[in-house]
Amino acid sequence: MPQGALIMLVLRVLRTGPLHGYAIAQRIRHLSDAVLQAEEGSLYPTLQRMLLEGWVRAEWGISESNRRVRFYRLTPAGRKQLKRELDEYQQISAAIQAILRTA
Amino acid sequence: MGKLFRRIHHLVNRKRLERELEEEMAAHREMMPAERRNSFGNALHFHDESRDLWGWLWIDHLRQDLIYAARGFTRDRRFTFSALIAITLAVGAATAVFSVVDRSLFRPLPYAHGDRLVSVGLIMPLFGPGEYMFLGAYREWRTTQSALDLTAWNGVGACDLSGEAPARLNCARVEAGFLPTLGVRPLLGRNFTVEEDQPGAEPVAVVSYSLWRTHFGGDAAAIGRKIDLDGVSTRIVGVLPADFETPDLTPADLLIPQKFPLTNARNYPLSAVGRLRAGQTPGSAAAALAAPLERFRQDFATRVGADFAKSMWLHVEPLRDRQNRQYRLALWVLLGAVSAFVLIACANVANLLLARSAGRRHEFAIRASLGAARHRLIAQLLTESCLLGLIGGAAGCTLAWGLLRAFVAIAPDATLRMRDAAIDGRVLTFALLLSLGTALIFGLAPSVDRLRSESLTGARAAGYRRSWIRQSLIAGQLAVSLVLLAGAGLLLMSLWRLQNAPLGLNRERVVTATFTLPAYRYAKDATQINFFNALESRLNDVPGAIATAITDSLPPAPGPRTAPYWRLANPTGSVTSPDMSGSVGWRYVSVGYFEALGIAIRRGRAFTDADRAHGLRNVVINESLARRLVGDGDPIGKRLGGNTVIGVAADVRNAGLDRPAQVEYYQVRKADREGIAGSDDFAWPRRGTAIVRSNLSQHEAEESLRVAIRQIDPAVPIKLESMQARLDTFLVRPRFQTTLLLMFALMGLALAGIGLYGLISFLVAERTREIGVRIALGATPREIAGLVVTDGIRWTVVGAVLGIAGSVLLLRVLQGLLYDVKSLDPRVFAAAIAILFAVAFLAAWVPAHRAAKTDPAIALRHD
Repeated sequence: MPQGALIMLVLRVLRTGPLHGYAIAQRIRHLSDAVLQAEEGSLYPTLQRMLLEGWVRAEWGISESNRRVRFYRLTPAGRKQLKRELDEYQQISAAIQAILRTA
Repeated sequence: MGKLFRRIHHLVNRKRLERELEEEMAAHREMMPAERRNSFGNALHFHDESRDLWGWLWIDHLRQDLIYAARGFTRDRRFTFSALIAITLAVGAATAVFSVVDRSLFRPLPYAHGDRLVSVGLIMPLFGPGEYMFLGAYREWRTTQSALDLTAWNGVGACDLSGEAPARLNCARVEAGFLPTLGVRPLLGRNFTVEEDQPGAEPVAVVSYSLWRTHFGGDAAAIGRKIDLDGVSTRIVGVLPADFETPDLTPADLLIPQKFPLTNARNYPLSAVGRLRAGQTPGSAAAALAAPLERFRQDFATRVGADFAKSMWLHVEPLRDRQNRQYRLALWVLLGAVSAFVLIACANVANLLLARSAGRRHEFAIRASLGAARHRLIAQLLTESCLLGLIGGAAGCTLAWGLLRAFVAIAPDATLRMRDAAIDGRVLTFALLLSLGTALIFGLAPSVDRLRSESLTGARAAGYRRSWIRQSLIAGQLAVSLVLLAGAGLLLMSLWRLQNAPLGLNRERVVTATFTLPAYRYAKDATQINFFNALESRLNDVPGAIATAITDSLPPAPGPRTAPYWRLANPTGSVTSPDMSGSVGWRYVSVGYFEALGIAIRRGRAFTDADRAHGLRNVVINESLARRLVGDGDPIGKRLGGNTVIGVAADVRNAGLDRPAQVEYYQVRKADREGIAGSDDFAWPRRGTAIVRSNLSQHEAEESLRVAIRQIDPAVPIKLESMQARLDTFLVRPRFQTTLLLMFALMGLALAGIGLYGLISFLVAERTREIGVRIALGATPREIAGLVVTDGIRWTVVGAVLGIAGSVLLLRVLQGLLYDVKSLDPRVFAAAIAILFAVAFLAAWVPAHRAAKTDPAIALRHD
């Protein structure tokens, strides 16, 4: 999965509330009915990048299974970014569908 | 901005962040179902990726490379030491020389748009050397053309600050428009106004920054204060910026209004400086001045003489060129010499790196096969080169600082502006660029070539080709060394000739005291005459004196006053023919002058007290003037203008040490004002030099001179100097440039020799096996040594041939610096070549000797 798409998905699953890394991967898997897999390897560099861009903030907390984990929370900048990416995605996907219909 | 801030935050806290990332990923892995755990992938790689994201991966790499480089350098101590020495010497020498030449050749003048300033003057061969300008022409030219804005000043002269803290100062007389035209704003206060520049206006002055600091404590309240200048109360109106300098670079403590006379002053002399208006060049300005020049020429022809008018021409020259004219060549030669030296040193570094790279082939091949990317290997080399360059550069700056002190010690005189030279930011930038440039170009170029051909298998394949590069480098070094050596030899020979040039006088045991009577105490003629008469009688009482004299000037400087030749040779006629051209300098001397300086009288007699009688006008002429007047005939009794020739004195150098004597004559100093003609220099009647030739030690002679003058007037500042010391000041610059060139030549030769030694040792090591076979087959040690030495001599021959060709091409430029030596002097060349070969032989002989002692049994087991 390209990093751009992964960013969008992460932003999207974080919209409902803060999650830790493993939960993010799980959520992406469940929501896509196991079609999309956020590979763990690319997830962490992506999260680092999003931290750097200021789209998410990270806080240490305790997971449901009592482990020390890092929770990622969407920032206002992240919200804005998600909206931008969704708009863009909508446009592109509409365009692609238009092409597929007429072709 | 926030992103940059976060990046820096990441850099500062990287240790903690990495730990956290690790912990987080470990937790993730634990939460994964056991069967999928392996799919997590290479944690180390994700680490790197994340760190790269933070943008600081390169810092890690740099640190690794630096540690690796430092480890390598400490392992190859001999390499590191040699390379650092070469870089240090190159950067040190080049930086020191740059700091000396920069101010004169490259640094912008301390005026706004200084490149638009020009000096404007008339060349008048019939008057003698130098440039002239007159108030009449200047006034008209200023208003009748639109190519440039002209301003005028009248040079720097001595002036006296009287009052509580009396001091001898230097005053520049300038026009009100002088500072604005130069584009200089006073640091404090203001420039003087046009009204204050009128005759009769209240005296005002602008003080230099250093005078303001030393005499007024840098206090802003100095503005408006009154000082006593040459006995006149003068108000300070402004302070000059610290970097101010006069157009001819003479130091000035004060600027005072020129106050040009308003009428009857067309021939009043001055110096003109112009600022080119937009789009103008010196050439176009000269063209714009052509019409006004013609008008002036016609006017001058009717007033002074047609020949004078006809032969004059206008000279417009950028101000910087005018300032540097005397020593530009010397500075460029120094710069050229130090560049040549830097080349030699760089070739040495390149050679060392090539030799080192031969030993590191294996190491790099292993690193490459372990997965090091090509760019990482190049980065490693870059890091090593930069590290070498920076360490060498830092050491070089220290060396430059020391060298600069040595330069100032050798040549403290102001002509090279050595006192101004300093290691400042500009010079340090130069040093930094130079050291990095050297290290990169010479360190990386051969290395890149190596990376291309490297592999684990071809361990020996590139060996021969590389030593071919190294041989060319050595030949080049030897060639450049020869050029430097020959150049230094020429300067050395010239200096020797100059030092031993017959001056026409005897400098032994002669001590002089030069003084200018303060204007505020000696404004009247009578007081001046009284001082000189008193001095003359006191000099006669100096114990141990063999001869004493008073003069207005000392050779080898010219006499301060001149007369047109035609007025002396043909006073009744007008200037009609070219053989009447030129001017004759003259000196105003007391009776004992010739005896005191040991100047021989060739014909007739020297002055006696009888010649001082009122109404007599007897003169002594020099041999050159005698030749010009009467050829081989007898000039005694001839008329010279209104004078009578009574003797012919031997020629004495009077236009500097390095120029043949010019025509001149001597007038005897009288007890009154009779017979004193004017001079361009307003202070000349108050200026004089007392000369004593004695059996005393120099110190005693100086003391007795000091006492003699102090007893007449303790307020007269004097400068004591032995004749030898005075002559030495004329040798300062030749000595300086010779010393430097010799230093660069010898250091260059040493480096080239060391390079040659290194290369031959390297080749001998490569050929150990071959040499072993030869010895085993019966070659004598002598033959082996010959084999090795021949190799070295072969490159030396190539280097010498290239060097001779280069010398023939390049050393021509030295001609302007040489005295009585041709730039292609065969003796100098022979000596330089001999030295080169001697050094080359020595460098080859040591490894050859070692090779000859090779034990074949060991050599054959050599890999």
